[in-house]
Amino acid sequence: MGEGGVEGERPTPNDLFGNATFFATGNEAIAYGALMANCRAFAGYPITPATEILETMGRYLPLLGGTFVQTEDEIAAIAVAIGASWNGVRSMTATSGPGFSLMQENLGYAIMTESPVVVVDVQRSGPSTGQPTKAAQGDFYQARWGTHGDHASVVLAPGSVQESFDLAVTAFNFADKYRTPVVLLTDGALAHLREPLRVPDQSAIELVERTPVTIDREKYQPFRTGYRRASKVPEMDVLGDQYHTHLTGLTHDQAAHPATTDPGVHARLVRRLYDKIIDNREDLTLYREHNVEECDVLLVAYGICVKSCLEVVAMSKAGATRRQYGLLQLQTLWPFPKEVIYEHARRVDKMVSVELSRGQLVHKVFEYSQGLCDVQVVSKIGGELVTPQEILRPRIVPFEYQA
Amino acid sequence: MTVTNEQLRRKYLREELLPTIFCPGCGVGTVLNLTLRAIDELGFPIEDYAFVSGIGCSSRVVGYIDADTVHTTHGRAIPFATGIKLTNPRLRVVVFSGDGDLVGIGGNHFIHAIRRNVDLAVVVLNNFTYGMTGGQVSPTTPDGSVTPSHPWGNPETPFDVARLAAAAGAPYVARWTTAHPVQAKNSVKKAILKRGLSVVEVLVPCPTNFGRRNSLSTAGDFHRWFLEHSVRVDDAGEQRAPVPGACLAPPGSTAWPDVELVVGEYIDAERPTYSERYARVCENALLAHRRGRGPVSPSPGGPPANSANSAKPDASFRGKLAVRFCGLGGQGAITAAFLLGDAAVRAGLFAVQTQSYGAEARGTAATSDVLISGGGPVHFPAAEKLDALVCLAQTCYDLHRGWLKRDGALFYDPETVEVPAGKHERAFQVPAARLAKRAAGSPVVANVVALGHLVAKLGLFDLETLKTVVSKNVPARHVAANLKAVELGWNHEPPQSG
Repeated sequence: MGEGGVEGERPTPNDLFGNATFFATGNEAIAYGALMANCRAFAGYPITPATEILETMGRYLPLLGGTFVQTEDEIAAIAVAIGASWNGVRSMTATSGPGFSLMQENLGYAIMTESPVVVVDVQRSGPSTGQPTKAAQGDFYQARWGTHGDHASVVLAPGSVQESFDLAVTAFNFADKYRTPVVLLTDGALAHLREPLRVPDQSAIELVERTPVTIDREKYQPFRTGYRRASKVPEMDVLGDQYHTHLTGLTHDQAAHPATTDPGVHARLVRRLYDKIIDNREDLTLYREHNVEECDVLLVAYGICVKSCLEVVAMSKAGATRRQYGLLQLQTLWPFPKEVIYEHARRVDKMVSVELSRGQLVHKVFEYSQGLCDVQVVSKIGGELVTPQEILRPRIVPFEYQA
Repeated sequence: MTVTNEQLRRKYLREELLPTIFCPGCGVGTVLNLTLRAIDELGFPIEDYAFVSGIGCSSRVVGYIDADTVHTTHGRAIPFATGIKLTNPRLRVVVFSGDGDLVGIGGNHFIHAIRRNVDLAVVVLNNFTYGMTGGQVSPTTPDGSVTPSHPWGNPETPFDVARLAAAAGAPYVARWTTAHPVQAKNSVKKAILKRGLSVVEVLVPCPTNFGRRNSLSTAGDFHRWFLEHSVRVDDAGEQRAPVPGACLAPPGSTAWPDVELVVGEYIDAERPTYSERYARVCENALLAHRRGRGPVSPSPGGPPANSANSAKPDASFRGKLAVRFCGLGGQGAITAAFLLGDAAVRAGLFAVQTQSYGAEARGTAATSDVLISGGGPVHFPAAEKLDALVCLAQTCYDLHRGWLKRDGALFYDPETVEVPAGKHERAFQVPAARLAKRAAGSPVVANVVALGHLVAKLGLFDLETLKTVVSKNVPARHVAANLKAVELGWNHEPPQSG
C-alpha cells in the first residue's frame, strides 16, 4: 500500500515508539504493542470503550504503510483482518461487547481455518448495549465459548497499561505460533486509565513468526501436520503462492476438501484443533504471583481487578490487614490455568475470586480447587471498581447462587 | 481456438472433487465454466487470483477451482475479499456469491464495498431462491412465486441487484442469464480488468428447488424463459423494470414470468478505488510527519526513561498525591489531568490518570483524577480522599467538594465558582478564564492556567517540565498561547482565602 513519490522513507514503529516512556492509556498501549509486533493491518468499527485502538491504528498505519479500514460493522472488521492474515500480514481488530458478539461467527471461522488474528475485546457492561462507558468483566465465558461448536480458545488478559503493551505482542506471537485467533480481553477501566508505559527497543522484543510451508507442492496438504516436526500446527502458506490452498469453515480433511458427513474426519479435525492448544498449555499459561508464599487468603483476579487486589496485598505486607493476602493474577484466562489453581488450593485456607461480574471466574476457581480450600467471590457490577475495603470486608454471597 | 470443456477441467479444476454437488439443470456450473473461460482468455497465471465466496450453492463453486480459494461465512465473502485485496493488491480477487448471500445476509457489506470501491470482481449467481436449504424466499424471489417458506404467496418485494449496484456507485455493472454465456463471459473479463468493484449478475436456473414449483421444471424451461423474455438494457428505455426480479415483475403483479428480463451492461465507468485513495492518505501522512505536523505528531509521549533532560521532582516528594480536575465537557479538565500526569512521569514520578464522563460530548461534568507517587507505583487507581481539587465550573465544586481532605487544596475560578468563605483551609483562587483570555484571546486555555497554578502551589516539579509537556501535546498553532497560559497560572498570586 501507499505507493507514491515518497515511498522508501517511511518511519519504522521503532522510530515512533521504540526506547521511550509514555503516559499512555491501555488502549494506546495495545495499539503500540501491535505496531511494534509488526501488525500491519487493522479493521474496526467505532465502539466505546475500544475506539481509541481504532483511532491510534488509523493514525499510525498509513504512516507505516500498513492497511487500515474502518468497516461497516464488526462482522466485516474481523473478516478483513482474517483475509489480511492469509497474505502473511499480522492483523488485528478491536471492539467491545456488542461488537464482540457480532464477531463470534467469524471468530469460529478463524478457529476452523486456523487463521492467526488478534481480536481485542474491551469489556463493558452488558447484556446488550449496557453501560458503554463503564468497565465490566462479563465476557469471560463469551471469550471462551462465544462461537458455536467444540473448540479451544486462547484468551489473554492484561492487568496494567504496561501489560496491555506486553500481552499485545504475546497475542500476535501465540496467534502465529499456534495458527489460531487470540483474544486480548481488557476492560473499559484499563482501556482509559493512563500509566507510565515503557516501550523497549524493537530489537529487545521477541517476535515469533508462523511456520512457513517447507514441503513441495506435490506433497503438500494444507491441513496435514508433522511435515518437519512433531507439531499439531499445520504449516501455513499465503495466498498467491504455488500451493493452491482451499479454506473453508466446513469440516475438511487434511487436503482441505470438505468432508461434512464423515464422523472420523470431523472428530480428528476437532481433536487436533483442541490438542494443538491444550498440548501447549504450559507455554500458553501466563500468570503472576504476589505474596503467595506467605498468604492465608489467595485472591484470584485478572484485568482491572488486579489493581484492587495489589492494593490489598500491599496493605497486607505492611501489616495493615488481619490476615495475610496474596494474589494470583491470571494473564492467560483460556486455556484455563487449572494446575496453578490446584497447586495453590492445596496450600491456602481460602481463595477469593475478585471480579466485575456476577460471578464468572469463580466457577473455574471452584472447579479446579477441587474442594481443597474455601472459595468465595467478591463480585461487583455497575461499572465501579472493586475497592480494597470491599475485598477486606466482603459481602459474602455463596457463589453457587450467582449462576 | 476455443478451449474445450475437457481442457478447462484439466487446467483449472480440482478433478479429484468431481462430480460437483450441483443438481441436474443447475446453472451454477455454467457460470463456473464461463468464468474459467474468461480467465483462460485473459491469460494471467492462476496464482494471480484469489477466489472468495460465502455460503450457499453458488458459493460452493470456489472449492472446485484449483487455485487459492476461500470459502467463507454466510454473506461475508466481500469483507474477507477486501482484507485479501487491500493487503496484497497484486492479487486479482474474484468473489462468487448468490442472491441470498450477497443481497440478503451480506447486503450491507455489498453496498459498502461498492461505496468504498474495493477492487473486486463480484460474480452474482442469482437463482431467485435459497437453493441449498430447499428453496425459501430470497431477496430476489419474483413476486407471485410459490416457495416452501411462503406456500400461500410471497409478500416480499424483490431487489434488483444490478440496479442496486449501479445506484451504490459500482464502476462496472452487467446482468446476463445463463442463456447469454458469451456475453456473460465477456463481462466477467471486463470485471476482472476493471479497477474498482465490478458486478456481473447472472440469472441462473434452479429447477430443483425453485423452478419446479413455479412452472419452470427443467433447465430448458428456464432458458426458454431467459431467451424469450430478455430485453437489452439499451432497448428497454424507460420501460426497464426498476427492480428486475423485479427484473421480473413489479410488486403486486401475478403475471410473472410474462415480464421483461433486462440484461446487458448497466454501467461502465471509472472511479478511484479505495486502494488509490488510501495510497494518497498514506502519502499525506508521511509528508505531514516529515514536516513534524499533522495528526501523527506529536505523539502522546514522554522522553526516554534515561533521558538526561528529565526534570528532578521536588526532593521532598516521596508520598502520594491525589488530584482531581473537574470541568464541563469541553473545558479541558481531562486534558489538564493528562498534562499533569505526563509531566509527573517525565519528572520521574509514577502517575496514574482515570477519567469519567457521560455520553454527552459537551456540557456535562467531566472528571479526571491523577494519582502521583514519589515512592513506587500506585496500585488502586482511585483515591478515597483528594489532596487537591480543581473546579472549572460551579457544578464541579458542588459535586466534588466532599471528596477533598480537610487540609486538601481547592483551586477554583472565583469569577465563575462560588465558594463559601472560610469553608476550606487551603483555597487557591485563580481567575483562569480571565487569564486565559489574556493569553489566548479566549477562555479555551483556562484549564492550562489552572494547571500552571496548581503545579506552582503544590511544588511538584519545575515550570520547564510543565512547559515541555504542554508544548509537546498541543497542536503547533496553539503552543504559544498555551505556554503563555501556563506562565500566567504559575505566576499568579491569589489572595489567600479561608
